[in-house]
Amino acid sequence: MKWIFCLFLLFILNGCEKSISFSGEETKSLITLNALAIAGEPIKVYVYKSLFFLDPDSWMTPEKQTLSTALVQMTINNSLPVKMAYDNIDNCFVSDYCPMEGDQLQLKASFEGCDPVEANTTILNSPDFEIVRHNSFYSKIDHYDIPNDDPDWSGTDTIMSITARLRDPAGEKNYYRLNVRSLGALSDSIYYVNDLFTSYDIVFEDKNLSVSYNGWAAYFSNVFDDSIFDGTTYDFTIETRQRTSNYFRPYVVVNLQQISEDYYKYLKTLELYNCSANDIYAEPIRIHSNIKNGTGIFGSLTGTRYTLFF
Amino acid sequence: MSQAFHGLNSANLVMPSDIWVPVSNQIVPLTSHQASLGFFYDLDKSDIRFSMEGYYKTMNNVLEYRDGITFFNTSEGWENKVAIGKGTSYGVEFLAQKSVGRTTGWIAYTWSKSLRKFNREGNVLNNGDVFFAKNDCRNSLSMTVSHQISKKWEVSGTFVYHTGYRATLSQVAFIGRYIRELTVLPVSYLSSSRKPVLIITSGQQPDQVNLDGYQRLSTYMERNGFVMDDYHRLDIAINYYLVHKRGKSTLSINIYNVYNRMNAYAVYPAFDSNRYVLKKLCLFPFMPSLNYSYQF
Repeated sequence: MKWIFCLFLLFILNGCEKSISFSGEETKSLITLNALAIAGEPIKVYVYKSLFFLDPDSWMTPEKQTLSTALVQMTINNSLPVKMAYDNIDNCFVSDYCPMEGDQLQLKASFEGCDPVEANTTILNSPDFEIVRHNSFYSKIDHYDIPNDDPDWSGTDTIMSITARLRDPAGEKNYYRLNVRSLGALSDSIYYVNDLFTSYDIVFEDKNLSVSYNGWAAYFSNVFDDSIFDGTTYDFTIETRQRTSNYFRPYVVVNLQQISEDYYKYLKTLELYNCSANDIYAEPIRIHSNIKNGTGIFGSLTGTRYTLFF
Repeated sequence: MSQAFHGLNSANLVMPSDIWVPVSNQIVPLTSHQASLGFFYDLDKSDIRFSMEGYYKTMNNVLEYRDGITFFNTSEGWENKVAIGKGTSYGVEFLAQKSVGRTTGWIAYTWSKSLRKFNREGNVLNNGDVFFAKNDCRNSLSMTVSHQISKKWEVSGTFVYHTGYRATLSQVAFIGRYIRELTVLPVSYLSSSRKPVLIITSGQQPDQVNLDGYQRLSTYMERNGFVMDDYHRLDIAINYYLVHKRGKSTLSINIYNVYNRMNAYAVYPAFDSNRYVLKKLCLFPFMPSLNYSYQF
């Protein structure tokens, strides 16, 4: 009887949570390529090895996951492939070639123990973009504007409103990223910077981003496509706050970037990933990749940039 | 066939859920076509019946959750959180049943496959490739036996087995790079970076565009690509029947999951002794119960 009672107690006290070993098929390591081809600038290619998600090494810094001995080649407009050199300072592979608009680029990389990978992108034309008007106005700083009421907060009581015009080419799908950087400076080397901006324009609305992430408002994204203004001229207005500047006249750099479709999809999945990063109940996300047999992204970006002074 | 309700299954491992949702002005009814062929055979002397039936079913307007959606901290309607696609399922079922005599019971076995394809514009999942449905369950076996020992005593047992359910597990970890955005974060994000400062070295531009940001990302390669451990358990019941002047009563001792199989309800990554591991949660381990019912 005592034996039965002990057995019964053992079952009752047995916990409902248990560590288990992964019983599925582990995905073998893949080559990860991260590269962004920008018109007029040399290309940097970051090459890593993907790891099984339970591998403790997957939490290591990028420098320790870099495949510095990989063979990385770039082909420009179907010419002979050029081997890219490894840069020990930036921990990436670099090429001296600065791509031009219309260039077709192909990256190939191989590393022992991993399947060789390749990816393609095309350098896009710079967007037809102009600033229609901009004006600055006083805006009282509310305490909730200042993180933790920090007395050293770099924002001022001035906001710049910028109206811009975009002429979207007809008959093609185009993808954009808008970067609005407000700058001030303490000296010639220390800058106060803010990339956040606000807008009520529907073009910046993204219904998938249901929570605020990385400082951006919920349902807001600076990455968008031309689905609501395809082939037309579209005006939109944005606002950004001035930064403190003792060294030069504070200014804003507005940079509208035309990005490749794959890079757009990568950024969209990345936004969604960051949006749901702290929500364990969210559905899993497949990070978009255009790397054949691998992970990561090889995208292109061409921007049109304006500098506006407060 | 057409039905006005959709079964909606979460691919999330941490909190798997199966709910039913109605059609709406955005969600069209599910339609399906099914063909089946069956054979039935009765053994006259032993009252045992055998059957075998195969089926093939195609479904249109099947629902699945979109990647990354959540039902917390959101005011969006549920229709915006689902994608619409197609499904196919096929399989074969075997059944042997004895329903007369002191010993009765049945054995059922099913082999089945259930697939999904979501490749319509704006409803693409898994890169538009075919993937297994969450309830794709290759083998399923159930056995029930009941024996009448005497007029007062009866004992019965049930054994259930099926291949583990499917779920999506982001099992590939890699370094993703992006154009770093320097932002003044709101209070909830407070960290050392509350006042973004950019240190410019010689030759750099303060508005330079490059992939200087990085983060550890994890992604899945196939939706519902992870199969959970097989599910099985044995339940036993002993019944004692009593006849009273007015009515009758039954005293039952039931033991659910006799051998305390830790069938996983949810699986989630967690840290254990400084190691990143998978953990499973079992909702119903060994569970005895006593039941008394009186009928009059």
